[in-house]
Amino acid sequence: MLIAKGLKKNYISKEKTGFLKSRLKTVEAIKSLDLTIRPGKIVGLLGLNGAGKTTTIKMLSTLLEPDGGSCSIDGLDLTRDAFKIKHIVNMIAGGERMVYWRLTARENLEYFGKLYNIPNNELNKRIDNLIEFVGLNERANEAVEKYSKGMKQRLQIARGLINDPKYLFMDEPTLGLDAPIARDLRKFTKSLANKEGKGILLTSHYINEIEELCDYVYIINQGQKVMEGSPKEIASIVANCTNKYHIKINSFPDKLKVQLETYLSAIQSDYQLDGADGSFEICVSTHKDIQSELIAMLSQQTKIISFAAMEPKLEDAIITLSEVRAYEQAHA
Amino acid sequence: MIINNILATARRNLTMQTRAYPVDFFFSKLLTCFFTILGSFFIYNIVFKGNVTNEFIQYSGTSDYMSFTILGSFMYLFVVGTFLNVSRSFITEMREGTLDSLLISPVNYMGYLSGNMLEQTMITAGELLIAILITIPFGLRFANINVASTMLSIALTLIALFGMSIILSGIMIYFKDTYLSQNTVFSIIYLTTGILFPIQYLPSWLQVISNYIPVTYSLRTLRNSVLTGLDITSQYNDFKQLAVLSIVYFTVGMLMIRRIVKKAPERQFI
Repeated sequence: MLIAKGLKKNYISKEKTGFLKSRLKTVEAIKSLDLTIRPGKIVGLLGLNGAGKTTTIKMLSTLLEPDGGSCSIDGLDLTRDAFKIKHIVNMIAGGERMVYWRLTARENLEYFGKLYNIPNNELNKRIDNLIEFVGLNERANEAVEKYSKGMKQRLQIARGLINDPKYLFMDEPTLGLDAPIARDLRKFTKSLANKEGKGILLTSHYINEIEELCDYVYIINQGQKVMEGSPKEIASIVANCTNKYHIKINSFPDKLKVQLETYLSAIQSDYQLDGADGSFEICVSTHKDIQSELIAMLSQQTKIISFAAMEPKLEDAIITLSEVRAYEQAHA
Repeated sequence: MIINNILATARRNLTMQTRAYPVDFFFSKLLTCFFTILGSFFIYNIVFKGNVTNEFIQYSGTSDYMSFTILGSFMYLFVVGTFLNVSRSFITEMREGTLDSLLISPVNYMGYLSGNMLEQTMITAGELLIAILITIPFGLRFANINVASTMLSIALTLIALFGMSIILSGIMIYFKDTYLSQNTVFSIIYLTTGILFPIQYLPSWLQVISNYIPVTYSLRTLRNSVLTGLDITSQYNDFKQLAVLSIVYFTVGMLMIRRIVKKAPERQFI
């Protein structure tokens, strides 16, 4: 299990204060972060740009040394046992980098495999499997510089799996991938966790991806955890609207309007109305489950054409968080 | 583990070099070597009418000025090749976006750098063979060569250049610069180590600098071994100095590079 407690990371940069003058400036990228990744589970790390997601992943993958706190991975200390940890973790980042463009896909995987000291026979088998998985069989012996963006990204995924890591950190892994490949990668990610018991930390800008894949989500903002829980729990808490109802009715009499407004204001809820083509669409947002009451009220006075109860989305949570952040910054 | 790293890195580099070998760069290096020798040839034959002073013979231990210069140029070819490739290895990874994937793996720094050095030595040795063929008409002579001391000189030189390259590599990563740092080092070496003339012609304060650059001893032992056939025992002090400097540069380089490369991913952020 990966357990991080109070992880901290500061960046020290030079700030120009005049001609040949500068002063050191410390930026707290991660202030204090607690995080747990269990084997076989996919954990999401969400946050706005600059929240500290990539820094967190780089610390966990031994690229950056934490400035404080502790982290153990299967009993190994992240700082003290970094060399051993490198054998059981790996990282996949979005984009086309992290592979050698002048080498072929096979040569790239061979090189990285050698750095992990994987015996030749095993390495060759692993390379064959990975090349097949990422769908590069036909062009495995072609220089990477001739690949498309998606193909380079697929090779990077293969590179991230070359040491068969127990913990995999994926930073925007589907960035730039075609929809079918992205879908395959999501499937594969799920099976890596479920079937092979790998612990996975995933960041993504595609909220649907997080909702689909993650068992647990951490939301960080300005280097601090602001929330954690299952995607559903987070959406419920942050968006503060456990239920959304989209109802289409063929008329909206004044009597019904008054009755609906009185009812919703009593439970501190709200609705929006759109009318077109002789029908009306009502969107009710509420933190209570009022499905049966709404159906009863509406069906007495009008005809319900359709009724859809929507579950809260993680996306709503992120948007709410970003609005809160913007408000805080504006009033700071 | 370290052997795996050395061989894998050397093979990787060789593959990349052969796939996209900079032919113009190859010619540029050979032409630099050729024109240096040609320039010396004209100065020696036209300006000095093929004569050297007693002072030169006393300082260099030979009256064969052309062989003296040619060996100096060969050494410089090695210096340039090593510094351009081994020193730039980490910063090139940084610029091409592969440093992170390298550092996430349990790469052995010593193995990685040695792999770069091995590949570079092979490439430069190939270039040197061609250079030797080109320069024979200018008067390069091996008649008096002492093979054992020549081999020892080359071996120690390689270690020294490796150590110097590692230090330069650290400087390049720290300052995120290749051009200024490498060209400064090239100029200092070209001026102070006796590539084209014995260092005794330099002002005494510059000679002090020469004494701390291993290339000075590499050149002296190489010339003494090839041109005058001196054996290892006769050059004991120079070999000792070269060995000590090689170890010092190598040790400082390794200590420095570990710290700087470890911090490199952080410096990419800021």
